[in-house]
Amino acid sequence: MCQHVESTEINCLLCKNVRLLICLCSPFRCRSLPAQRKIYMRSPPIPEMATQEVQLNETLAHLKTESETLKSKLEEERAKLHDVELHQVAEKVEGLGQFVMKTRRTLKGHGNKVLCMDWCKDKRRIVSSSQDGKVIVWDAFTTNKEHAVTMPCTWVMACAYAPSGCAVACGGLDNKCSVYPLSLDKNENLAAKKKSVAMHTNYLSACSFTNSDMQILTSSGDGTCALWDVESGQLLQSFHGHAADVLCLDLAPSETGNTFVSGGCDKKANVWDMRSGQCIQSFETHESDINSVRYYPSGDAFASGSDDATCRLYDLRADREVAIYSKESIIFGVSSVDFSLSGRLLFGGYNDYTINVWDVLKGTRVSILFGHENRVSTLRVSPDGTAFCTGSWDHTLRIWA
Amino acid sequence: MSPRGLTALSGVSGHSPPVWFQSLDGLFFFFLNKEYFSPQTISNNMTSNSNLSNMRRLVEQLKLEASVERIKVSQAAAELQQYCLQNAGKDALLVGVPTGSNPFREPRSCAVV
Repeated sequence: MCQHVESTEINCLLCKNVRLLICLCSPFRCRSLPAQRKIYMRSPPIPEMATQEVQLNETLAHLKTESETLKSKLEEERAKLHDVELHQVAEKVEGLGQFVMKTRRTLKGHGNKVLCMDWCKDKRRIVSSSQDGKVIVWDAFTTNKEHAVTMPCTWVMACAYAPSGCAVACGGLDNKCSVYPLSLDKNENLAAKKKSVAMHTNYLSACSFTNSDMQILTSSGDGTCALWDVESGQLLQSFHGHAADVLCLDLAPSETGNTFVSGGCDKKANVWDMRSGQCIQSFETHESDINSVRYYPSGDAFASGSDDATCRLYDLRADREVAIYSKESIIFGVSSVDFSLSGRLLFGGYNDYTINVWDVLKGTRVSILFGHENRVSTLRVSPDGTAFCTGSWDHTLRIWA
Repeated sequence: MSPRGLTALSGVSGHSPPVWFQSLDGLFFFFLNKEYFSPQTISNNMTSNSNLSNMRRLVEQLKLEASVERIKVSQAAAELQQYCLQNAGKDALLVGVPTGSNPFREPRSCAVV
């Protein structure tokens, strides 16, 4: 590889690979950018260079047509298997009765919009982050605050609880993901033990620990997702493929393997293989930014919520969208979605301050919940499915059951 | 404008790759004029070359996606439904649990004053 690294790309004149300017592959010496500089070489240039540009245009056009044919072939293949709709299959299933879900706890203490929250595996603790840079760990049963950290940046858009319950990760406009080990000593200064793990070139939009405390998966406004080792801060794998900011991600439930799904501003939801970094499936049916993605509890499907005011269910084995959850009266975007334990209910937090509860199989809305005084920004169901928590721009979190 | 005693080996313009010359003593070299590094030229070259590599990547990705094994929607839907029904009993938000076992739904007593 050429040693001279500049910031723009041109084709290397000899090896034809896309190199960074100015690259002349070894054994040549590069000079920096002045005009009229002679560059000496030890062997003559390859004669085909004159026709390089013509060839370039030909291959580009050829590739374009190839990609168009592949895209239409993909659509054809997917359409062939679309023999029935999900709600048709579910017609015989009993309808759901009336739901009585109310706010059981209100967690007050944030000074500004709550942007993200996560449950601890003990089903009791919650970590939440807000626009003013504060990250608070709560005991949801008693509504007491157990820990509070002030981040050096505002807009902490992502936070996650470690599986062991001993650490939290958070990040936002600082482009980093930092891990704070939680200690039992309340007086200890948590900020002193902070460990910077991820480094992106744009804001951090979401983060999640994998099955252990040792690895973190992050997504960023720079269009990439990345897998990091917590201890060393090393980048283990990066995932490129989104054409715009990646806003959300979710890991597949542990039994089903090493994949995760991400959704972005390019309206695409991509499913990735964590080991190879490859995008294995891609879905583009939303009409606007995808704000939230969540796997179905069995791991065979995932739901997404978008600014186009719809939630959609995509089945991974049928490789297509199988349900849309929308109503003409709902015009505000969905900021976050989550499934109940059995996957029968889909909860969506909307920008019109409400929470809509959908019957996943039948595609109908079963309930609408009011309570927040500003848009709902985050929603997670507790690990044992007994309650769900929502965070909102009205500075509070609510626990519903 | 070709320097004396030199043979031009390819066409020249501000936007194409440089002209190769061979001097009398056998050395090969080329001149790089300022235009080659102008933002417009760089971005032209960059766009055409990065377009090419992007297109290649896109075609590879589409080929990969086209080769995915798919099942019928009816089968997939049936399996989703089966999972729902199997686990419906454990879903507290769906069927509710007896008051007292859900820590969030504490039984509260009201006093009438």
